[in-house]
Amino acid sequence: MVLDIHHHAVNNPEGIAPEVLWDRIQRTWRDYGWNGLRRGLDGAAEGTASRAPLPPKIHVSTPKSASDPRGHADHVSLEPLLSFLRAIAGSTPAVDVMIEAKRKDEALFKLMDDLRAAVAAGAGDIRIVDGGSVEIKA
Amino acid sequence: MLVRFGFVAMSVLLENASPSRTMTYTNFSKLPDREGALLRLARIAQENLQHTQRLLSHCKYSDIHLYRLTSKLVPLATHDALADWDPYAILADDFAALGAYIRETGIRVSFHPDHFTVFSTPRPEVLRNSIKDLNHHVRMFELMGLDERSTCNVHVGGTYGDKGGGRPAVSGAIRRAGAEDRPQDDARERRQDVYGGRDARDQRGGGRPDGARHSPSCGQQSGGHRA
Repeated sequence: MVLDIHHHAVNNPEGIAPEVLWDRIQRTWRDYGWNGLRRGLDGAAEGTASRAPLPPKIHVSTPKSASDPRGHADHVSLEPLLSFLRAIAGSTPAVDVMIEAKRKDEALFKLMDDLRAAVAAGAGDIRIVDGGSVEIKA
Repeated sequence: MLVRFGFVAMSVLLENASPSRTMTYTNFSKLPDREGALLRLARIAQENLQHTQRLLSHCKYSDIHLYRLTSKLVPLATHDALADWDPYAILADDFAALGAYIRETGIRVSFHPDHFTVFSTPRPEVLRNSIKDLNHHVRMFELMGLDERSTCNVHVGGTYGDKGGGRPAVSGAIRRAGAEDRPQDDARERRQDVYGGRDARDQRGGGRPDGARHSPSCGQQSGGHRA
């Protein structure tokens, strides 16, 4: 189950915060045998896990405009993504985030710039890991 | 918590690296020599695959660890009027080279068939096309020699006025998709070479939402899309 934070926000009449659903979503990644078992590849024995399972993946985008809230904007806003990531950091070892934005890779680099700026402004729970990853401390 | 970011399909920073150049069917059908026109389609696909490798190289050198492949690598791949065309055999080496690069870099790749591919649809023709389209994506994964952790992420969110009703419809539709036979072919044999001896499990069908016989998995995405 891939959580799409933006689609959830525009199709959520019950007003349930995504972090409330996260434990159940995360379980759909943890509990399946396809995730983590490498059948005999790279010399690993059949049916053994030779490396860690893939982290859950979520989609993030920002509404294009008030008149077109379902469309994707050029870039993604740091909020509400950062709030969501902070909310799940304590229960989630790793998460992969697919950015759906008109400006593609540029949107990714801009988001990384925004995260660097947040660190510079004193966000002590964020550590820049490399050009495309961060650590959020619980 | 480690958070890795990825992007979708194309770069706005690399020049001349479109992975999804295409030819419309109208233009295709205007070409006088059909054989030549098919060669042209294959040529475009080869370029798309080479551009995808450049995009992955851009990812590698920018520390980007996940990337979504475009669904439009092969122009007109699932067009009804080209049902006799087998692009997979022609492009097998190109897909294999790309797959080798993906495995070498360890970048997490996925496909996300568009919202016309939806298994919760009540419309039989939409379901039929969805099965065809998902098979096409799985064939591409197989040709790249990627294992089942390379996923196709499909929409299941259509509610059709009954939120919650979509779920049984999806599992039923996907079981039917899994029961559909596919012809034996080189790609399938190649996959058996790569993955060795998993067919017994594949043919049992299992409860996995991936078309059951195919190696790469198919995740599900919530959302407000409708077919």
